[in-house]
Amino acid sequence: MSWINRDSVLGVLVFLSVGSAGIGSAEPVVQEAVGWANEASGLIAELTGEAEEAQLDAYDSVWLWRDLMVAQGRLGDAEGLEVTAARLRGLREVMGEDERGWLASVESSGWAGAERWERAEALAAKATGVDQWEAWSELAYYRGRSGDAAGLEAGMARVYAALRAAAGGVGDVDEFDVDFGWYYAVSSHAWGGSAAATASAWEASRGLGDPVTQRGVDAVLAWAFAESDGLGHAERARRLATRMQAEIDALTAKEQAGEVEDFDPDFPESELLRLDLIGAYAALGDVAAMDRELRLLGGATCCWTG
Amino acid sequence: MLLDGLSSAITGLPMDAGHAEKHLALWQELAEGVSRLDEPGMRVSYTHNTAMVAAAYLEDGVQVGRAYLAEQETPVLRAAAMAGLASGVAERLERGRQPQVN
Repeated sequence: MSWINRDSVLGVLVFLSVGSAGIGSAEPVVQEAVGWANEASGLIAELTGEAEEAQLDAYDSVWLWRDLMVAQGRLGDAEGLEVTAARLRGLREVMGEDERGWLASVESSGWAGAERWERAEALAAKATGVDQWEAWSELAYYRGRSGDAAGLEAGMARVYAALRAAAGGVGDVDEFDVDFGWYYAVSSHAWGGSAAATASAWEASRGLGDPVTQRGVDAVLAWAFAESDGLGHAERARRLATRMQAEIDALTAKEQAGEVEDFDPDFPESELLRLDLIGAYAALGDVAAMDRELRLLGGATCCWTG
Repeated sequence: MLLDGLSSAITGLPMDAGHAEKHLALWQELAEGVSRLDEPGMRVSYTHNTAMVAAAYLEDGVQVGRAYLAEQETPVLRAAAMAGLASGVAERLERGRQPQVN
């Protein structure tokens, strides 16, 4: 595209090294970022709604609000954070009472990302079932990201106990919610920021029983392990990615042959799994494998982005 | 779906010099794919947002982002891009202070 002058950018491209001193020396950039976040918050509010002319469906805007909260919290923009949280809460009027628990869960995640733990906990307490597991998982994840390894492990222990109880028939949730809860929890745990966390997530996720959930969890773990390359998981990531690639290819063949029960052509399981596999290969730096998977996705027919 | 894959690839790439060129090439491919779509819905705006998060990691990505914002007239993509750039800068800030080894 014309707005990217590739040559000039490449000519001066210098990446930040992980573990550098951060961007304290680039304070004007932080201020500029605060301005972007605030302007984005206003624009998204204008564009969001259920009316036909709305450019962003209310549901679609939810994660943008959440991400903005996280950004504003980390940029130290307390005022902007409150405004954005209020806009996210305001979606209750558009989306209705049924979504109250889910919105509380997402807002909890935003506060957790901004490291406002008490507000995150208070909102998570208002959610129930899968919404609450999501909120708890996010809380634990951000605890880990903040360097609080003990907080991560304690938080995830709470999530796993609730999931095991639900799988045993406790609580008013369905099987899909429990499966999704496992996927979400393991992902959050594995990305919690430590070698111990990824190992714990692996242990917690063995023998889930349902093959679809297990495949989903294993694929995302391949990516998470690959992301943890610096923590000594590269070899494990490679083994898991190789196994998942074989499983996904076999699943694709079965889907194409019409041998998968309850097959949803809009959301083929193999395509969703392949996204995680692409992430894993990318993180491993295996460009050839990544390109192969991208080509397979490129030939797919799923609806999401055309 | 291909755009989702490209987005995954971008966010999956480690932020180091060894992956610099691949990173930028993927981002360009993603941006060009987005530009060909008529209706920038959620998946597109979110993908765009992710691309900008990644761009903000680049030393000159912020400048590229500014240039993009100056030219971008589609409100929903502009909003997603601004949110992404803000998130990316915040991510850089967080990575700078976070312990890398447990």
